[in-house]
Amino acid sequence: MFNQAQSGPLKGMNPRVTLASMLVVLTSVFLAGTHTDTTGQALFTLREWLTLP
Amino acid sequence: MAFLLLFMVWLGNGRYKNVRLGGDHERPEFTFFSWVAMLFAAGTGVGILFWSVAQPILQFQENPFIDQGLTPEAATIAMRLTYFHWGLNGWAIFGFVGLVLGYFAYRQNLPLTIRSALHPLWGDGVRGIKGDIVDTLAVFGTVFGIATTLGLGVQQMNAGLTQVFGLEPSINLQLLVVAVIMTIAVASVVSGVQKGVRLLSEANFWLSIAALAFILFFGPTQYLIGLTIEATGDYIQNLLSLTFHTNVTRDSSWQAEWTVFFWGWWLAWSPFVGMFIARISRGRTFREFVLGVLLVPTLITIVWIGLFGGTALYHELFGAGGVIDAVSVDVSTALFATIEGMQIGALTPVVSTLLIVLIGTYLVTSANAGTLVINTILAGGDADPPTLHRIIWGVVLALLTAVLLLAGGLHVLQAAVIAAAMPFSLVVIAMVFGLLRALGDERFAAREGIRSIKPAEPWAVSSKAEEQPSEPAHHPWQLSEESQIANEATTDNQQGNEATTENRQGG
Repeated sequence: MFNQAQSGPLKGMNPRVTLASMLVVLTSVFLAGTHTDTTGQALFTLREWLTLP
Repeated sequence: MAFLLLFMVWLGNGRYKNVRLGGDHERPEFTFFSWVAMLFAAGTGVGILFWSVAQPILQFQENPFIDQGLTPEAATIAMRLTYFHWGLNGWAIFGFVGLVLGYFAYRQNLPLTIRSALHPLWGDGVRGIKGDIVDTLAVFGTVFGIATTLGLGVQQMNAGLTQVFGLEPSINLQLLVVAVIMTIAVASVVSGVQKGVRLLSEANFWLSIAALAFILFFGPTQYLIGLTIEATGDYIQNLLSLTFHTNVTRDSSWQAEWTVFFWGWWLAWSPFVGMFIARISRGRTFREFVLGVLLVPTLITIVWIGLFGGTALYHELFGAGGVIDAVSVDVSTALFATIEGMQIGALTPVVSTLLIVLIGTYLVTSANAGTLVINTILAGGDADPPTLHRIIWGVVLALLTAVLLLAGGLHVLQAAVIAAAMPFSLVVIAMVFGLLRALGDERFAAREGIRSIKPAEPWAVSSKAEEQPSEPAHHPWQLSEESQIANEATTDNQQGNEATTENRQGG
């Protein structure tokens, strides 16, 4: 396995990937949860940008 | 997407078609029937339940390939476009990721995670930051892909509950459904009742068969069979042009609204489904894998969409209609509006309830398996990650689904999955190069259905092969002694065999 922690709360997990993923996803949850309108608009804008012909 | 489809066809039919997802001596772990049944499970799910009616109905009204909607010709084209978004191109993405994961895990003995595919490019660099970034991108895409699917499924369940039990559709009801689904999924992890999840998966299978049979026999059977066959031919005929279609000559945002969304969704789900397909395909050759993974689920989706979507189109063309009206108000009501339009009297609530149960069981099994895949990647490829982390990620998935629903429902879900898939698409491109680099070492791969053999003459071995004496035993030129003896005996008995000659000459 790649870079598994051998002890601690992240035992059996890759600490860097686990923490980075949790940070990214929880930040998304927080921003989307506290700024629902802005999040919706931001995602629409991003989608338009990504799908330009 | 066009490249991936053609690349998969080449992998299944080109010079590496006999390379196995495992050692040369390995045989498939599951029987052909079990494998196909499991591919069926992979091929059906919440997404197809949601879009199998909604998409044909929406395309039937307007799309860039028709001058006038709501006609029989528009119905065939609507089916063609739906098949396109659910057919070979999408399964080429899943299949590619599955094949790469299986190849590196079972043939190269690397951990079952995305970064392993980049080992031929980066060497031990995959253990560092670069590898961590790749796995993080895969997790990011997977989390949003599953959250999107959960969101769509929950909206559809909400629509079903409204139709059957008269509950008011509301965001609170949707959040309640998210909570219930995720509680069941997490509880199954905590209690270790994986047997229960397996039973749910089997229930999904039989409920899906029952739903298909019901639509076929209680719907306009002759029309459904005819439309499915006709639309399949139409799809096959137009597959290449659709695959390379860019919509640049048409002034509409159709491509961005549909095709880009679906390709993003397929990409976001590819680590999830790819890992599942890889795990059930150990021991299969590239040829078997490509044929099975491209054709079996595609056939299933063609039949599924043909029956469900065809029924809705029949109502609109020849029946009392009503599905378009329902979809224009709320897309998630499409399936239940179609059942209502079948005018089956007292059976309507029964069938609708069964479909609600089916959506619910699909959601539970998807959430359960999704948390396992996410944690397998987070655990560096460990297929049995710690239970506590599976629970944590189950909760995180529930939270993300809830906030995406709160942020704006369907359109936000669609935008989120595209945003999440974009970075992972770069990883998929890198995986192509990683696989090609690794396949360069498969130059002794069997060409004609026999297993690879060790070159008999020392001068047939290239200098590169000689420089790698410590390669693991699963490489073709390093079979165990027994295998070599057996192979040499086989070779002696096959003098004149072209494949043998090719292998001895180093391919």
